[in-house]
Amino acid sequence: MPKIRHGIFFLLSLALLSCGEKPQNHNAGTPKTAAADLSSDVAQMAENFLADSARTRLVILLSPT
Amino acid sequence: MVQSDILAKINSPQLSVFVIWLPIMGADSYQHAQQAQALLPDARARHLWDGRLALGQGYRRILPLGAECKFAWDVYLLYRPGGNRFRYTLLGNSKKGWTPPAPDFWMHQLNCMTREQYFDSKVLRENIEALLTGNLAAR
Repeated sequence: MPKIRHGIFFLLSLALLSCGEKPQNHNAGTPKTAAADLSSDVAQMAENFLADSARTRLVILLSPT
Repeated sequence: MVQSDILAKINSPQLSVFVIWLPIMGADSYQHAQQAQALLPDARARHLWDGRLALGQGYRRILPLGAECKFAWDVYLLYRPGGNRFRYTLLGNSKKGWTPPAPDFWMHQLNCMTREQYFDSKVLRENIEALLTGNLAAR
């Protein structure tokens, strides 16, 4: 009986662990050190870019492949 | 196509170009984005890598894309001169997201969309020229 209880506890632990949120790896392949003109702080850069009120602005979103 | 059909034909220094590279396809990476910069070598262009799809999701929220479009990409957005501010939005999952300002004109090349406003380099160029001369009505 203790062996069965131990087995049930083990299986429940496994099930609980597998229910955890998987980390999203959107940055796979992204180097930690970004080149000067490919900044990782995109949102702030975009905000600054769009705040440049003196010019007409063209924003293009593309996949590189 | 954008470089040769649009940017090379518009010499105005009053145009700024912001190219955002996104990891949409399985093989997309920062290294690919670095290489792809060569496709748009215009001196007015600034290139960024949006590895977390922050802007892809942000523009998805404001553009009338089809339900099958998970992210905004392969889209071309125009803003007339004047302040355009980003807004913080509290999303349903309690994470803050970027909500970019609505563009004055936009086009796409997405299969998950109808052919309406489908990318046409001549139409986009004409709209850029209209904005540069102050002749584009808001859409």
